[in-house]
Amino acid sequence: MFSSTIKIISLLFLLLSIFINPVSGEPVNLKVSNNITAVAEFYPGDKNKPYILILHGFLLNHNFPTIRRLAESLNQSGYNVLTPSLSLGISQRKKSLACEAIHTHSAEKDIQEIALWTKWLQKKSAKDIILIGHSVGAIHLAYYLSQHPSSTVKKIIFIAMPNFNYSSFSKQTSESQNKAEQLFANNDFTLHNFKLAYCEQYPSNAENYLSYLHLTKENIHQFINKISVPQFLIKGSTDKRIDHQWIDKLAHHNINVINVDSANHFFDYEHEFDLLDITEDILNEK
Amino acid sequence: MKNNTNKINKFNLKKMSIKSYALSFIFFYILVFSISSFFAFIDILKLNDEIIETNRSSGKAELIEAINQLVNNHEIMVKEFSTWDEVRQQIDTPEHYPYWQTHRLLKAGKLPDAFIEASLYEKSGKILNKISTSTLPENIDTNKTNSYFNIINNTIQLVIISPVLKSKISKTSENAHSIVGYVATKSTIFSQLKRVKQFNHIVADSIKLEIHKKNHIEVEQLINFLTFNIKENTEIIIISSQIQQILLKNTLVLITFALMFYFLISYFLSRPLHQMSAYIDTLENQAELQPGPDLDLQFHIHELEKVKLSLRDYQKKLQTVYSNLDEKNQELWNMAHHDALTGALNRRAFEEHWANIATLFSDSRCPVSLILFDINQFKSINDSYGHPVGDEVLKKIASAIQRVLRQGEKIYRIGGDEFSTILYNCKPEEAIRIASRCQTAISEISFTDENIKEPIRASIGVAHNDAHKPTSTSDLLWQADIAVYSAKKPGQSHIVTYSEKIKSISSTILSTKINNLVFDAIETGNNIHMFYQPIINLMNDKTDYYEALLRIKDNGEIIAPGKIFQLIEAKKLDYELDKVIFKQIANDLQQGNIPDKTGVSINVSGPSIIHPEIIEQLSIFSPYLKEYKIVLEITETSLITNIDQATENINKLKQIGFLIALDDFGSGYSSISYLSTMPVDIVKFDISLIRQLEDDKQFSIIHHLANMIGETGHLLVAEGIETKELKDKIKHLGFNYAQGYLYGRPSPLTKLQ
Repeated sequence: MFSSTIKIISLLFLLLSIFINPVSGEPVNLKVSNNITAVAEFYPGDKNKPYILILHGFLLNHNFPTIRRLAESLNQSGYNVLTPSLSLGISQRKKSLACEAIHTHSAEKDIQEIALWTKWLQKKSAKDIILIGHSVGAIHLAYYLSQHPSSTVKKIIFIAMPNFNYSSFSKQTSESQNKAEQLFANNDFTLHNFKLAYCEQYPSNAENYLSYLHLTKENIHQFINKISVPQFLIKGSTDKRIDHQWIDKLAHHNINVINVDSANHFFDYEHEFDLLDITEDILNEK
Repeated sequence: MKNNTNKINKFNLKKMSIKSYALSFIFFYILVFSISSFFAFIDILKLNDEIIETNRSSGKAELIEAINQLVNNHEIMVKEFSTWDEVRQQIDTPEHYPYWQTHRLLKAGKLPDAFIEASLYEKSGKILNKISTSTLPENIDTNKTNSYFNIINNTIQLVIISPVLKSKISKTSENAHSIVGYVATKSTIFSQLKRVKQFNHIVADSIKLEIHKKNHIEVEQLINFLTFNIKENTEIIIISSQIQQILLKNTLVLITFALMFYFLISYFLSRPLHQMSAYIDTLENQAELQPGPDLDLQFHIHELEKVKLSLRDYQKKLQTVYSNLDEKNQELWNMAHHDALTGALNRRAFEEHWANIATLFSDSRCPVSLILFDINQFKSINDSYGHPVGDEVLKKIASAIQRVLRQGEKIYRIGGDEFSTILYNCKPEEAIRIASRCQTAISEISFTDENIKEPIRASIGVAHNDAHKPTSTSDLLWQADIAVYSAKKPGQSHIVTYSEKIKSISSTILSTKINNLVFDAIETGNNIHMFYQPIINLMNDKTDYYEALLRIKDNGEIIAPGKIFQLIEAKKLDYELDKVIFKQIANDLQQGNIPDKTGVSINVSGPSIIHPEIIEQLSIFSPYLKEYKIVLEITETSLITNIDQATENINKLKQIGFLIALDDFGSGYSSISYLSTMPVDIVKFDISLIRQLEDDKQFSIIHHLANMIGETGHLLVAEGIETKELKDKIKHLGFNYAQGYLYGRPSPLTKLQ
């Protein structure tokens, strides 16, 4: 009887501690250009533990559930986690950007912002940094790391990494690409409606549009090949947005591919925990 | 009492039946109910109006609340919209704004469909891109960003201006924001109003604008430009309906009650009262002594039943009383119309009967005869034998007359000793025969039981309506009266039929002038003058005494004594007149107007000499008996009627000192035997006898008569001596005294001296 009462009281205290001290990150603003400030969420953890940068997918932001859940879980495990939101050309962007919105961003600009955030982390910790990218974020990080090798980055984890090759899922076509390339060749930087990834409409100029179309399997191979740190790739077996065959082939490029059965692109439901467990396992790997 | 009656009459209400009262009450009750219902209905209408007004106020408040809520919602939406990343993107980098404005601003779905326009503005308030079709302002006043309404083409458009904020990046205040631009939106609200609020008081579809166009209406002013209808208040409709139903039910109840009330009043109250009223009417209309109608119906109301029984009992008692009363009335009628003594009809009956006859026979030629009976000297009989005897006499006479009369003919006692009968269809001769039979019957009556010695006769007057000379029935009465009077005259037949011959008698009796004079004289003594005629002692031819003779003057003119005495006898005023005469003579004696050593001879009427108080009346002469010779002259006819009483009185008078003279001896039917029993001192031979002295045969009789009377000690007086020859004759015959024009006419006292 007494012991059961102690248990109940202990449980109540535990619940209270959760509500009183919910896991929440600190908003971080980072000026990425003259008139654009990017925002991020920083979850401070055990300073002795690695600092993790988790990057969201295409047109999303750091509040995307997959990102947020992972960040919070890792933070709860003591990791210091930074979840930046790419500005996508919008200062203090708070929400995901619609396909139909005017896209003034490009892959290169995204890489620049990642570089700035990595620097911010490096300034913050000067310790080990682990990069985790979800979806297109994974491509961005591969691209970044291939371009900006850093001694502080110890690991890179790609989660459900797609590519911008034509596929049944992707909306872009060779026509749109040709059109863009034509426009680019003509130095036409006016706004045009393209198709990209899952977007039927993607208003952007040709240059910026093409910057994403360049993130093809081949280019990604090149990025990966340039990366010297351990690379991990976690994919869900039911993810329809990725090229499973291509990913399986990546295993031959020093990438540790981990397949999660039944998980989709976003590792929803119970696969949230699979993703976390696997990520933590990776992080804990020496 | 009369005033009270007048007052009661003044306040007399119009009489109405109980049904009318019941109906009036019902109508009055319905009227009161209707008025109260009407006022209740008015109150309900007022309450309805108040509720409608309250609802209108509530509706207005509701609409204001809806507008405010809608504005608030829209403001929230616009505010939320202003935080949209793309908005900030366009303000920061507006290079693609026209595209974005066209393709994203509204189409992105960040604002609901109600938002029809939107535009972004620079921080300064200048529009980022002016579109020609836009009605949003090109510039906004950044100091005045309150929402407001525009009314364009009968459409309300809400204009909301919301600042676009950007977080300030600073170490000290991360939450600080700065305005980087503005969003202005235009939204319609009419369609939204219905959604934003469930209207309880307003019919949502009824909200309408009063004006077509107006720029810039403050949010709180919009209500002034809206019209709306108030929902019908279901509660008041239900309550009104229920009250109307209640009123209807009450009306039905009232009508039912009124009908029942009317039925109850009619059946239980009005019907019995009507029946009782009819019963009473029947009683009123029927003969009093007939048995009343039956009132057998049973009434349901105890009191009415009791009244009915009481009425029936009362009616029965009343019937008994009527019956008794009728008997009493009959008795009373009998008593009133019959003479209690004789059983004959009385004067009242006679007068009634006579009045009827006067009516019946006024214009008829039917002969009517009237017979009057007057008992001779009845007063003397009464006085002499007493009233019981007189009564018996009357009874016997009435009975005798009635026996003679034929069937249907009745006898009336119309005076103390007067009877009458009326004969219809009777010829004069027959009337006279009947009168004669009556006379005979009266004369045959035996009065031995009453010890009446003298014969009792009746004077009978007959008057009849002559068919050839119609006479008023009223005249018959006095004609019969005159006839009776005539019949009473000495020497006349006891049955006299009225004729023109005896009419002259009536002139005296009926002369109002003489009547008045005589009655005045009797009452006051006025106009009475005593004349005196000397009576001569034949021994010395000197006046021995004077006979006092009555004269009544009218304005100095002497009225004939015969007329006076006719009246006196007819009216039976003898005693009263005598009393006045006595006083006058006594006065003359007292005055010394009568010569000394003479005397006075005073005429005393028959009725007076047998009057019980005559002694007392004549005692006024007592003082003069010593100095004067006072003779009382009495007619023999007066002695005959009641000789005993007369004798008694005469004896008493003689004892006092009066001398008694038997006047008018020989004028009537008196016999010598009477004279022998009469205590008279002097016998005055009537003038008719003296005048007969011219006849030798008569002379001899008178001579012997005078001698015989003289030998009995009586002194003899001869009247009517007008010549010396006649004087000598009477002196020779042994008369002691003489009276006549030879010695002197009746003269006033002044001439006596």
